[in-house]
Amino acid sequence: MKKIKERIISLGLNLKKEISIMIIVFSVGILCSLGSYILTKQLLLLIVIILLTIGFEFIYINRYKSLEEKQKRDIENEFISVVSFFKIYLKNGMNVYTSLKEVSSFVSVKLKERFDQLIIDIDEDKSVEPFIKFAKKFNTLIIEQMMISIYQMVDEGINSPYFNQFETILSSLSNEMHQKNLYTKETSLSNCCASALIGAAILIVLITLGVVSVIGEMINGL
Amino acid sequence: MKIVSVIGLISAFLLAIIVYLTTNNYIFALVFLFIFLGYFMVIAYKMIKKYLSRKQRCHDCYKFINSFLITMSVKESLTESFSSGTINASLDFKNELSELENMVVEDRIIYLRRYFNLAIYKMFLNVLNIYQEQGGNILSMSESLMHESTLVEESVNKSSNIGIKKLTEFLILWILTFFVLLFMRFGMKEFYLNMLNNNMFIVCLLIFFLFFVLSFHLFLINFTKLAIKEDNINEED
Repeated sequence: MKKIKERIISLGLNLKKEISIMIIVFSVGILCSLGSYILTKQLLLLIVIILLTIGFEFIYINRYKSLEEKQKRDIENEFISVVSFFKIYLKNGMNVYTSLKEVSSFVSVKLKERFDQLIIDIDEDKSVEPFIKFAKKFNTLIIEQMMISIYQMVDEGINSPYFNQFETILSSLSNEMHQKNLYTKETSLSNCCASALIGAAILIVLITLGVVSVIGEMINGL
Repeated sequence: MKIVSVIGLISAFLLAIIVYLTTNNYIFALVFLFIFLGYFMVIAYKMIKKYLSRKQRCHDCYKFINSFLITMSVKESLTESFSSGTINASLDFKNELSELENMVVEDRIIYLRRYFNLAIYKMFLNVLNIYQEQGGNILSMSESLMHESTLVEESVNKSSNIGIKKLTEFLILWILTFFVLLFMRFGMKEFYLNMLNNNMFIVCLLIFFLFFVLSFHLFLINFTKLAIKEDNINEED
């Protein structure tokens, strides 16, 4: 429970709202299952509604994991887009420090915190350490490489031989990001298309139920 | 957008007809008519409108930046570059431009940042600013910017094509599923009417229709997503 609370807070969601939704859905599910049992006297209906409620709660809690992954992916994508702009500033004669300050105005709150911290760290420490510390938050080796090449451009800007290295990494990352975004969209839409198959599965269950009940009635009638 | 409303209306009526035919209950049909119509007009319509508007703004922004920079490199005039950038403007963009007629060109270019709300446009303003202050060759200065804007444009186009392809798949699959249900209703009429006497069967049937509405909503959420970096101008305000 404590872990779920931490997850909700770290995702920036409203803790009270999230817990209220879970409690309300669970209560409504239980009330509906009891109500339907009292009205129809069908035990199967009671079990189905309880299972659906538990299923919903399970999916609802499990979505935090996918939300965390999505948040991580979004920040990485945002960082890559922002570094593309950073390159444009560099190419137009600005130095690394000013360019970093400029691009920090483009970013979302979450990434801005990291950029602001990076700028503060650079002010205090002129070594590669602030750049590595910044890159470590992404947990991606290629971003660490990119930050190191940015550090190596601090003195010489785009005249540095490391600019080509930076450009190559950025270009591959940028193309990869656009491809990945398209792939994610295609996959998520394909998953939604699969809902029609789930619908067909519900129909099969429906037909089976219908056939069984009609045959049952016929046998009882005989 | 009128077409979207008409499609929503027709879809809601079709769903209500299917619900009526399969449950033999006009109350359920009316309930689903209002659920789908309400959902479409309140939620789906806004989502589609926002998506189409964002997509159009991306196209307009791409065309504007490219035409503007090319004309600027040849004629070195803000007014002529601005006119060139707005020649192929969409209807919405033209309406926006007509409201800016009293402004000077510089202000119009700055004001458009709010209209496009794209990070790429803010970048364009920065490049233009550096060009006005330092001079030089604007085409070489904006080389990376043009590359980035092309990537954005390509990404929007590809994303849109994927969306349409998957929408077709989604609709075909659901139409086939409904066709199976309707086939049962009319192909095994007596048998089906007997099944309708079972409350459990009706409950499952209603869950099936609710599931359709839910899956349509989930599809729409993914369909209307555009992974394009926005400008934070509204947050700055």
